Amino acid sequence: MIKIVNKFTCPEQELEEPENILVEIKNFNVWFNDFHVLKDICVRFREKSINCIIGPSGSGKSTLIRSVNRINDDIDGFIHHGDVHFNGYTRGRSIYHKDIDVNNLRTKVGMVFQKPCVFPKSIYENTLLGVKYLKKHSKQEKLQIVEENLNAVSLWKEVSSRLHEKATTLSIGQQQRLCIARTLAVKPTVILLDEPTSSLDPVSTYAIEKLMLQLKEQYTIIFITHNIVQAKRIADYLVFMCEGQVIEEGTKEKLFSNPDKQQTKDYLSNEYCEC
Amino acid sequence: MSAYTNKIVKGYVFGSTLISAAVIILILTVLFVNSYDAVKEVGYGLFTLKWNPSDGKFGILSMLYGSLAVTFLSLLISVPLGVLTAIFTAEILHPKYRVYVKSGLELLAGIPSIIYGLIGVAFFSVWVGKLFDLQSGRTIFTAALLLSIMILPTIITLCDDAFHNVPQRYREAAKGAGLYKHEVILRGIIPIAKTDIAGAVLLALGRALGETMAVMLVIGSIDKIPQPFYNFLVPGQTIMSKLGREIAESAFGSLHFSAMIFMGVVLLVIVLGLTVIVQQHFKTGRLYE
Amino acid sequence: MNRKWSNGAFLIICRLAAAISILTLVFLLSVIVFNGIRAINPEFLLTRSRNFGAEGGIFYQIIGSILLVFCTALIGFPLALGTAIFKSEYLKNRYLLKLSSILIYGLNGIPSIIFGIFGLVFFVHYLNTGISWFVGSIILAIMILPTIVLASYQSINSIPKIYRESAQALGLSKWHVVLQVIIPQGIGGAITGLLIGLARAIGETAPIMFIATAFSGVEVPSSLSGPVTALPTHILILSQQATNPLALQNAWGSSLILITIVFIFSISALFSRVRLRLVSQR
Ligand SMILES: Nc1ncnc2c1ncn2[C@@H]1O[C@H](COP(=O)(O)OP(=O)(O)OP(=O)(O)O)[C@@H](O)[C@H]1O
Ligand SMILES: [Mg+2]
Repeated sequence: MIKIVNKFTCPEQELEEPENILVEIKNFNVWFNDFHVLKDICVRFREKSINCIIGPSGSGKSTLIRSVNRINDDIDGFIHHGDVHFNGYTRGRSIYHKDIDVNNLRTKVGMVFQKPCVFPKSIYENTLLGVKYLKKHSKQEKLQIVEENLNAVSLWKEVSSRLHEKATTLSIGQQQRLCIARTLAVKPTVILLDEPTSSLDPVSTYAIEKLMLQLKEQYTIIFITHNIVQAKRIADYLVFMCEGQVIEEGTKEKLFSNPDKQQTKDYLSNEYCEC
Repeated sequence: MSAYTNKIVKGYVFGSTLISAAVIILILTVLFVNSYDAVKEVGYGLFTLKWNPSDGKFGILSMLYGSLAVTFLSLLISVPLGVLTAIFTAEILHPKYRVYVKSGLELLAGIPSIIYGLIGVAFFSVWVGKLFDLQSGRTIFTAALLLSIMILPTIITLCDDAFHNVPQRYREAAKGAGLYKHEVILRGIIPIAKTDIAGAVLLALGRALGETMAVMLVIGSIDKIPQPFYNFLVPGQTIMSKLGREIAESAFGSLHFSAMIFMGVVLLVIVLGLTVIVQQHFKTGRLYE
Repeated sequence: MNRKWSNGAFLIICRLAAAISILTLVFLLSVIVFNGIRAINPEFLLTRSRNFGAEGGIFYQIIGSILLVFCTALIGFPLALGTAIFKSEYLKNRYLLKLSSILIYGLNGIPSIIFGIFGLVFFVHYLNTGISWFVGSIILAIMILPTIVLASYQSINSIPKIYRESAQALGLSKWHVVLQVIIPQGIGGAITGLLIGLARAIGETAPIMFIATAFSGVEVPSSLSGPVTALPTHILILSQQATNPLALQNAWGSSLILITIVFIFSISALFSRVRLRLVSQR
């Protein structure tokens, strides 16, 4: 099987505001069968801001954020090593600790996928899908939750008259916003978004970018994009990944103006990468 | 609460699977255990020609021969007819009619075998009797004829699928090379669809071997290998028709009963072997119909 | 010139073969319909049979057949759905998956009379149930189990992974995912499989003739044990008296009724499949 050869530890970085860190990934490795996908990842995601992950295709971005809500667990051949800390929730343990309830963890770490995935049910039921089991709600409360969250993604006005129609009748952009509303309804702390705009038209993309800028007031957003211009528009912090490694992380301003690494500079200026 | 219901669902799906698996194992065990007596007492005597329970003679060879002969003969009729018809439905007929043809064939494939039996009794055996001037029209040939009609819809749909699954570009490439339609089909399409057609034939073979009711009613039920062996215009017996006729008459626990079960096991092993081969090597993918 | 000639010949042979096949199959259907129609009248449908079926109607045979497949569905459907869900959602080991496929296809390949014999030995003799219609339903359910399992498995397994992940990402536990995502989206395929299976079960004679049916003189059973009369076994005894024109006529009538019920099931299956395809395209 796989041998963990190098006992690598993350370099202690001097931090401006240490209390600002919400998710902290330490020495994290992932294999799919014997294919080493993530190599000694050390990265921190800041609270109430947009943390943007960029990097070429196949560099392991999706694998990384899918490890934060443990959605990778069910994948055949998934092996991990290392820690993911979720400060304020796991109390010093890794989220992979055996006492952690995955389903509960996932209500704290919501996720939106690249392709909007609504269930063949009504808009109303789709919004409530995650909340329904958390506790019993009255009809009144349910409607309130639906309204509140659809409002949050500015979908309420468009669909309030047809809440009981199939969600599959919505446009793709609306479906993606519905997916975000569905995630917000569970009241997560962190929201993971894996290229949420890459299958959308420019107008819907703009709507979602605007939405994220609002959401970061309340939520910690971890966001993958291929679009460097988009990252420049909305990110607060950037993480640059290449071939399963984090090359550089820091504030957007720093990485765009004077990155430490040459690769970062190449990638950000002309999307070229040789790691 | 959630953990509890979680367990219920897990218990339900796991339980159903266990029952399903147990059923299969149970069927095989029951059959093997009950055929053991015959194997122990009669031994190689099982593979002889004579079947006469009152004499303690339990040779299954005549029935085995009957099963193979009927099946072989029925495939001889239905495979060429079915494959050529499938060429017509898949390659010649306009595609817009395909859905009707397919639906019709699937309905026909579902006609219960007892109704085929009735048709065999009322028409086929009479016709065969008249045509060949026989005392009784219930012969191996009659059974094979009836069986070939029974498996015809299955062969046609499966072969039609096989042709249909050949990508259009092969047809275009062959046509582009200036081939006539028959050359496109014979040289371009059949070689590609070959394995699927073989799968269809094996599947039909399994079905024909296992058929009971229709064959039982028209084969005449005489436990003999015909003289000469290729004279199919005489009554015969297959393993399945023998089981259908005699299992209720033999006392449970007797050697007779055990020998009957043994006969069933022999056929089952052949059919299961075929099924596994088809599933592993041909992947027709539509086996559930 | 020669190639053109053989092309024409080939096409003619194919057309000829198709004509023979189609004529044969049309002949089959019309024989059943025309002979059957003559036997059918309200009295035939609504009275009991007399004189070993040669006279009278087939009322209790129809009831018996419907009772048999109704219970077959009740037993087989939940079992098959559970098995399909387990195979698709819980079973991860590649070898076990392969083994389970082999077992299911194997069960599917077992000739129907073998099920009858199994029922005779295991239920009637080992468990001492005697001739019982309920045992017949159990055996028929076992027989159509692979059909339903395969159809359900195919439709469950073709639900894209993203649906499961989206639901899990909302914090739904596995059982909620099964209930909210897997079953609603897979049930259509399962029902199609059930209909195909029932179409087969109701027409089968061999599995039930030793264990579940009596040939005549039985009405509606009052408990789980005791035999019923059923359409296929009724046709069987009538066709064994084929020299008696009255019996033959009733056999055709029963065949037409049986085939009508079979077609109702298989046409519903066809429609449910077409509907599924339309839905999944959307
Ligand atoms: N389920 C899996 N099984 C095996 N290998 C996988 C699996 N998922 C991802 N990989 C491999 O892991 C590597 C990283 O994949 P990942 O999807 O994380 O990349 P990515 O950075 O998100 O790429 P993209 O930008 O194209 O989405 C790839 O080489 C991919 O082939
Ligand atoms: Mg990705």
